Amino acid sequence: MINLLTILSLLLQVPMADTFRSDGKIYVVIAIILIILLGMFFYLFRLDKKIGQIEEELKDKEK
Amino acid sequence: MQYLLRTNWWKWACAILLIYVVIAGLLMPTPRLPILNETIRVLHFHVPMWFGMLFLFMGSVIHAIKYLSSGKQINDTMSQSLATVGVFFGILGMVTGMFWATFTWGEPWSSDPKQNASAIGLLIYFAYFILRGSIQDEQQRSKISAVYNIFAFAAIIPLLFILPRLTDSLHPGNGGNPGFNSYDLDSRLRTVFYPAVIGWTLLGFWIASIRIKLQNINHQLDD
Repeated sequence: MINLLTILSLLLQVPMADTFRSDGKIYVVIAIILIILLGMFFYLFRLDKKIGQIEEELKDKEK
Repeated sequence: MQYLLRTNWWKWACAILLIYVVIAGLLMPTPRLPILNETIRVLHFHVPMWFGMLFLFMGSVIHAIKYLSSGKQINDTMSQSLATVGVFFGILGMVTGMFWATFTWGEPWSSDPKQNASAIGLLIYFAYFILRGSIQDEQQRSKISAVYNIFAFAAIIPLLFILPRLTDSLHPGNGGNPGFNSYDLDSRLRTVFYPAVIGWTLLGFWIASIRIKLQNINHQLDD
């Protein structure tokens, strides 16, 4: 099966985003995804921290 | 889960892994495959949704059993939160899968055995939440939904991993279709795929941990 697929892909000249990559535009896509991802992580950490603070407050009140 | 609620290091691990997955997943050379072309990279994003869902459901069922043996409310809270995030991951996996299939299999829904089975599996978990919502008494709700959770998990394993393999399926690795090994000509995909599974799963547990904390606060305010 491996051989078949390799031969098939060579025969068909499978189109890939080769020029896209060489033009360098792919880095823009990666940068944008990374910005979103980092924003998400930042937000999640903030959320975690805030909930942690509320937990502490509740503990103090119970005392 | 108790350990995950107390520690923070794994959140950093999750962030680093997912940043690596995005960079390497889009840049690394992939096997040149007909029909799939560049979309083989979806492997690092679509498949980990299902893996993440499964790990979350596994966590959920473990805490359901813990609840049944200990009767502690916290275990029920954990079980419910993990199932919620698990279903969320499952829906994301379904949507991404349908989008991917539109461009590779020609239509979003081919009634492929694995597609149908995963839809049934998700419906079983939807019923879990309907069941929870329909019982007023807190203890009764926790107990009955914990028992149902065990049934749901016992049903989803054969639905996703055994039944689709018995018939013809478009999904790789099912019904005589070539699996991961034959696509993956020189293990290039693996170096991104496994970190992707771990990273996305950790993200699911992270969101679940926030939900659990939130619900604990709610419980405390109610008392």
